[in-house]
Amino acid sequence: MPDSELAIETHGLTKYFGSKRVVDGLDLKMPKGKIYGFLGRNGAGKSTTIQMLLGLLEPTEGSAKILGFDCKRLPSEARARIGYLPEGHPVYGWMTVEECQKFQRASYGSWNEELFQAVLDHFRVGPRQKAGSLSRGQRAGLCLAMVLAPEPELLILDDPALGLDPVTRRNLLEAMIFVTRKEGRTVLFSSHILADVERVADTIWVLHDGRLRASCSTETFRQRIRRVVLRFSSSPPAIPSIPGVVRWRKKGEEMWVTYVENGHTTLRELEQQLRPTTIEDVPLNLEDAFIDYVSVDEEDKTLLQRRTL
Amino acid sequence: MKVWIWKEIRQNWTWALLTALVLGGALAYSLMGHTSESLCDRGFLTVTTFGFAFTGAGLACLQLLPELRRDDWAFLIHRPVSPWRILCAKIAAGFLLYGLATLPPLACVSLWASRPGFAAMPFYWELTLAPLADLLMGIPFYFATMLMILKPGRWYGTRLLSLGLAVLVATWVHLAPDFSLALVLIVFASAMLLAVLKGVFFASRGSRELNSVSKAAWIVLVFVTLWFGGTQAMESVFRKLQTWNSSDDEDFTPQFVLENGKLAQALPKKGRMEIRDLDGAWIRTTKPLERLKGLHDTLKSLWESSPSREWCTYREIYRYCEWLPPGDLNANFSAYYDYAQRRVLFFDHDTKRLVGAMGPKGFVKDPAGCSTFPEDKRRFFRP
Amino acid sequence: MPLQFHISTGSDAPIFRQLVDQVRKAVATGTLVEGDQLPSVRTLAEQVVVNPNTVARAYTELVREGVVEAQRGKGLFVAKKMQIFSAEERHRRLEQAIETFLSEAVFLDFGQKETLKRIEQKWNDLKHPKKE
Repeated sequence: MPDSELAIETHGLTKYFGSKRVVDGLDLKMPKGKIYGFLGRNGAGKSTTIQMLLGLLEPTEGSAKILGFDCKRLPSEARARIGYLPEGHPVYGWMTVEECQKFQRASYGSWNEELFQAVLDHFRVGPRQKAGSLSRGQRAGLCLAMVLAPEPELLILDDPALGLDPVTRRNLLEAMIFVTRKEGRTVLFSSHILADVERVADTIWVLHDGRLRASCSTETFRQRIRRVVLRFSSSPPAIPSIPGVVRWRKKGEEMWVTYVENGHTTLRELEQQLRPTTIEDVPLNLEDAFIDYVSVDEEDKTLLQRRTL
Repeated sequence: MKVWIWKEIRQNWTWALLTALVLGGALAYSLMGHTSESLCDRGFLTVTTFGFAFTGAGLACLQLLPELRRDDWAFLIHRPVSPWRILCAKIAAGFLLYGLATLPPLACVSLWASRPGFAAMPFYWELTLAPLADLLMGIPFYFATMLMILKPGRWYGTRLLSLGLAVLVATWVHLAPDFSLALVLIVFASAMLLAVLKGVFFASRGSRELNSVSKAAWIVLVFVTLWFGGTQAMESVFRKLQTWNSSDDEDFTPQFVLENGKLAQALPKKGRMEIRDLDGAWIRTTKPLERLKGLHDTLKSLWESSPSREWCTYREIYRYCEWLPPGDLNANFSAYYDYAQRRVLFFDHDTKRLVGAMGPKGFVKDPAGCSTFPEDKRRFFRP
Repeated sequence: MPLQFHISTGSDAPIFRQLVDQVRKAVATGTLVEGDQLPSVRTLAEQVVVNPNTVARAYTELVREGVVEAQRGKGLFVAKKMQIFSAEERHRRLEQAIETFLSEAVFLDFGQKETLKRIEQKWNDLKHPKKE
């Protein structure tokens, strides 16, 4: 794939804070024109990765490219094409909304004033209000307006829904879909809210302990993680290490197993090695699939296989 | 660019105003009551030294610390504007704010001190050079504090190095004989710190490589600070040891020195030197660590018959005039020999105003009509 | 367009499938009739707040099942009711649906009479929806 087709590309991106490894050997390829959901638990390394991609943090090892530019040396023209909404929606509290507009507009060459006003109206933000006195949702709207008005090619949102009420969150999602109206526009957002990711993301990246555990479409993730209930006549045996098994739970005479499907081999292994009385497929929604995929249970520790989909 | 400067000023102007008031108050307070050296008063100069240095440092903190949080920093930096321009705007605004906070108080106090009746002594506009040097010294402290906040460094020592240089340069500014030299030092230190700052501003979070200019400036800064700082420290240690070993009051050996073109003797007394004329009349006492010209230089100067006041820095009033001790200690006036006018000026203690002048032809009430002494002929008068 | 789409996240059914089912139900109840135009991909995506690709996938599926057809340059329209499944396939599918339904009814302790009555009621509702 030629470089110009990729919005983001990383090779072995690693970051240590002291002796703590926060991001471990990330290899990402993000073609343009899609919406990417960045999932992971708190402290999984999502914000650190985003910071490195934007050249705000120096990686310990590895390299990264954004819109074809080297992340360590992003020129002004690159920054003009990348919109970044940091976590917590920072603004200068003493500025009024009008002054924010003036300030932000001065930095960018292209500015869509209609779009800016439209977003402000949608979030019910008036021009004379002081940014510090806005509610959380209104401030999110202001920051979003400031980030969308320059019409960037690539939009990066770091946990944009943090602390927002459902209505504002919905407005945010609408804005994300709106951005993709133009061809080739890309959005990357990190989130804990699986419902939002399920709605709008084309592809999801799952980060766990700094490593990329999954990089596939939302649908693939959902299809490939399955859960079954194994029933036994007596107490279920201990599970030997079977590749593909993500999590298991004993419940009385039943064993609930979440696994990654890879052509039925895991299921067959389970059948052969454990010999349950019955095996039953259990429906699994995206949130439960994600939770099982990234949680580390004490009794499960030995069984967690690092498998990428 | 304008918007950035506007933003910085809007954000911080109240601080500047407040500081101006506080500084004005402190400066005025230090000059109130009895002052024997006008704007070169020790207390006043202490206020200017520390006050302006802290103002510069405080301004750097004010402009940088609130923006240091990870996401606030990202909001500031992630723009199609080069970080260098952002820094330039901050510095330009910083200079304006600093000027607003320091120039009015100093100007007002200087104006106040210049009015006749302020103190029973002559006033020279050159006396403002001393507090002005301290004011300008605020700039290296400003840059040094910025560096201290921004420079990544595992060991705090590297961070404090810039501040160390600022303190070192402040010491030199105090010891420099001429204002022009002090100015050169301040400009040099500021330029150096700014060069390092340029490379560091963007790399505040990671351990980014500084560009070659910044690296060079950093190396020079480290070298200069360590070398001269080390030498300075050693020198003061030696000097301290010297005065410690030197005899106290009883057992003394006078040293001949040149004091304002005249031969005088210097007697060590409690770590300082008392200067008396050849008749034994006390002229003045030196500051600790002040260097005096020895006899060799004395003879040389006498031969060249030019006045030597090199060890009077621009920070002392003695560069421009000289207090003459009155014969009668109860006299209600002070007499000063003005080097520029070459007259002796008399000031009344009660009204604190100029009452007359004296030249070789005698005392007159109107200083303008007074005769002037020829060059090199200095005689102490005992009216 | 009288038809309102609702999707719910966190359910077992993926979003595109929910959309497909809703269209199919609308066609079955007569809310959508032959010749009605479906909203464009982008319009529906923005209305329901889902990724346009998901909507596109749902539409592709509907076209594949023959529920809707694409008219070049104009968009998607509800197709003539055509049976795309073979007779065997139809029977198999119905058999499967009946089995699921009956096991549930039995489990819930409903008798045959009541169950049949309920089926009749539902059939009538489906075929002759009450006018609002």
